[in-house]
Amino acid sequence: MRRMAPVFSPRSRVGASLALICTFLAVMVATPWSSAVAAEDTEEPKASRSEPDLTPQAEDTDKPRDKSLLARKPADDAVAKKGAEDNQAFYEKWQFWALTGGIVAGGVLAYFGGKALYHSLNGGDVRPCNPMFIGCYGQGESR
Amino acid sequence: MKNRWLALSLLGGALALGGCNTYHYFDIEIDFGPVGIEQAGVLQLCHLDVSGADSHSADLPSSANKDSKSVCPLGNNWPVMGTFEYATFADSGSITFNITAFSDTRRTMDNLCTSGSLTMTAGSEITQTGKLTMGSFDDTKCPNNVIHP
Repeated sequence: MRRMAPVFSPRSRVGASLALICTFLAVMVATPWSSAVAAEDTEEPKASRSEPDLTPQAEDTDKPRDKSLLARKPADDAVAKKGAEDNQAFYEKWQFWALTGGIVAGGVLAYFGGKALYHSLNGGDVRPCNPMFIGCYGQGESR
Repeated sequence: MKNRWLALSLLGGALALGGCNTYHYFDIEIDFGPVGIEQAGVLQLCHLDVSGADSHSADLPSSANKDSKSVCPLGNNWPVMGTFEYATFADSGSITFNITAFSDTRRTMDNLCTSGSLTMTAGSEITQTGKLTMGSFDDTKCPNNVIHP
């Protein structure tokens, strides 16, 4: 008995398989109830979800809109100021310059005061030379 | 309280120390004495030496030293050479003023014409005055070259 030739060639069978797979996928995606379709976004935008609960201010015992609560308190200023001062370089602090100025002024005062005291302890100024004299000598002889 | 007493003590000490150095002045007049005007004219340099309770050395004003006024060589200062003042912190002991006069600007014994000295006692007085008289003139060392008519 003669063998019968196959109805479809191998190439046509592969093509048919591919066509079948593609058709199946298209049906899956296009069908609304298919699991391959993205779930419907039922979440509402946040902005439009709910309006804030605006309670009249007169009934708000915490008075959240009282500006005095929001105003900076002296303590806040002091803390901020201290923080700013802590961050200053030493030469930017007035205490540094006050101390430096005090030391310099004290040094100058000590120098001239000490000089004057030393001069005073050593007799002070010699009296001026009488112009009628032929000369003045001794201590302070440059008269 | 302790600091206050310490400060007062220091101040008192400073004031006490301040009293240690007080100027005392000796105003000495120099008289040529036996030195005649022609002999005095020979002098070129006069020198002051102080010894004793204090010491000092200085030339008296001289035109040879380009001083503005001159007592040696003689200016218009005879028979009294002039008065000088000597200042010292000495307040005790004796202090001697010695004046030497030379016929040359070099101070050597060969040129020494005359000298005089005065010794005084330093004390609490602020100013003392004295008179120093020059001694005899050595005509041998200091001949007068002026020829009189």
